[in-house]
Amino acid sequence: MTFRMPVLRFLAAVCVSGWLLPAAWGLPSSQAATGAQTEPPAPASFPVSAPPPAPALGDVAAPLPPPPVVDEPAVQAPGPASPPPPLKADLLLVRPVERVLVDQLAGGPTRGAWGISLQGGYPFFSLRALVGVRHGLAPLVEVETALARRFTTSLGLSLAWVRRPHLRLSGEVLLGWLLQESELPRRGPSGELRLRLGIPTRWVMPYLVLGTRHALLPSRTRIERASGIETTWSVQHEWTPTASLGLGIHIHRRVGLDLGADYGWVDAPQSIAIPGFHIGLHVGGGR
Amino acid sequence: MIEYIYSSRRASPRSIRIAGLVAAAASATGCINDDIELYEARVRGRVAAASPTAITGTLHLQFHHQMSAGRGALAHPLGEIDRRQVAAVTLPVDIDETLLYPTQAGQGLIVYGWLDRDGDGILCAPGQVDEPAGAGRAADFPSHSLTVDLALTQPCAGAERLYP
Repeated sequence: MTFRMPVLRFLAAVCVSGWLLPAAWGLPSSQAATGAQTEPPAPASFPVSAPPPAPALGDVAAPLPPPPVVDEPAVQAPGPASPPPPLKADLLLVRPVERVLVDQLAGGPTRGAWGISLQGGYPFFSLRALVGVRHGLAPLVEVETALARRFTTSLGLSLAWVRRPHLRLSGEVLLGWLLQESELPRRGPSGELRLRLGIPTRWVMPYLVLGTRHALLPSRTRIERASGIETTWSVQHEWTPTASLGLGIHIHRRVGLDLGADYGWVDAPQSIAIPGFHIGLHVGGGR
Repeated sequence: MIEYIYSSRRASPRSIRIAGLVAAAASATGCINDDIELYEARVRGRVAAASPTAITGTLHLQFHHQMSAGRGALAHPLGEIDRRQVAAVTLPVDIDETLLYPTQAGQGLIVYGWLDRDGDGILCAPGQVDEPAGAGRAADFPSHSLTVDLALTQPCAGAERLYP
């Protein structure tokens, strides 16, 4: 079932999350309602394209109800003759967490949802944009610099593995290019695997990001001998494990902030690194 | 209409300029992390001491840039490239060493040597015998075959004292 109109989609999500989710999790509707902080109150009726409530699902022989006027579906849900589990297609309409902050920090935006993050601090600045193409799958582009001397530009994919109202877990894979201009130049392709964990709550979202970045640094050595020039190639490997621990702050469904501590251990374990910090702004749309 | 579509898909001068800038930036940044250029030079010569009597020990040789390529005012004389040891020699002795000279890090070639008479690996430690040292410039560098003669006439002298 596909909803084209945003209003219908929103109303369907509200209705289904207000009634079908409690039934799916086996909870009384009042208990489940306390966990849905961001959802507005359920409307008085279902939209025309929404699935009918319990009696229509449970009683096959019953005639189809007239276009829907259901005042309190949550009252009809509990009881000895509880309705069968809702269809999977219906559950996919439930979007309990549709805030840009969650998608940007913990991954997994829904289809059409997009977001841009700008994080700045010491030593890392980053610009990150992603847009959802499927449920939880999103391509992303990221530009990061450390003190304007080390730049990494990456393209990647983000996929949410766990997408629950109070838990978001996603993985990312990125491929890009590293360019470092300083006394120690570094140039070469880089790749990164990242794990993002977020715990969304009503106003804030603690999050953790763990990553492992690898860069291949090709070098050319030319030896000019009396007999001619000999050229050899070699490749160095640079490993940069990264970690960020922070707190996201919801400002609006499409705006959020975050504060975090970073640790990027460039060229580990041969070097040492000091922790950093950042503040970020996240904006988006399509929600 | 077809002509319009065709013309709109042709590269405009502006897009060509942008592509040129992108190509120039890409070539400037390059895909090579480190580009090392080395020049192979064979250094031969004779190392002698000022003492009329024959002295023995381990001969320490150091090869330096005559002027290291520091940035701007940071350029400085000397900059070690490589070092070798020739054990149990009796001066005078002939040397024959092959060197890979990094051409991007400086210019000129200085050869410095000292004789470790007591075998401790340290030039003139307190309470020990004086150890002779000397330096020479490879006048015909760059060349794949060089001749440098060293006269170890200065006791306990480091390379920085002997050159410039």
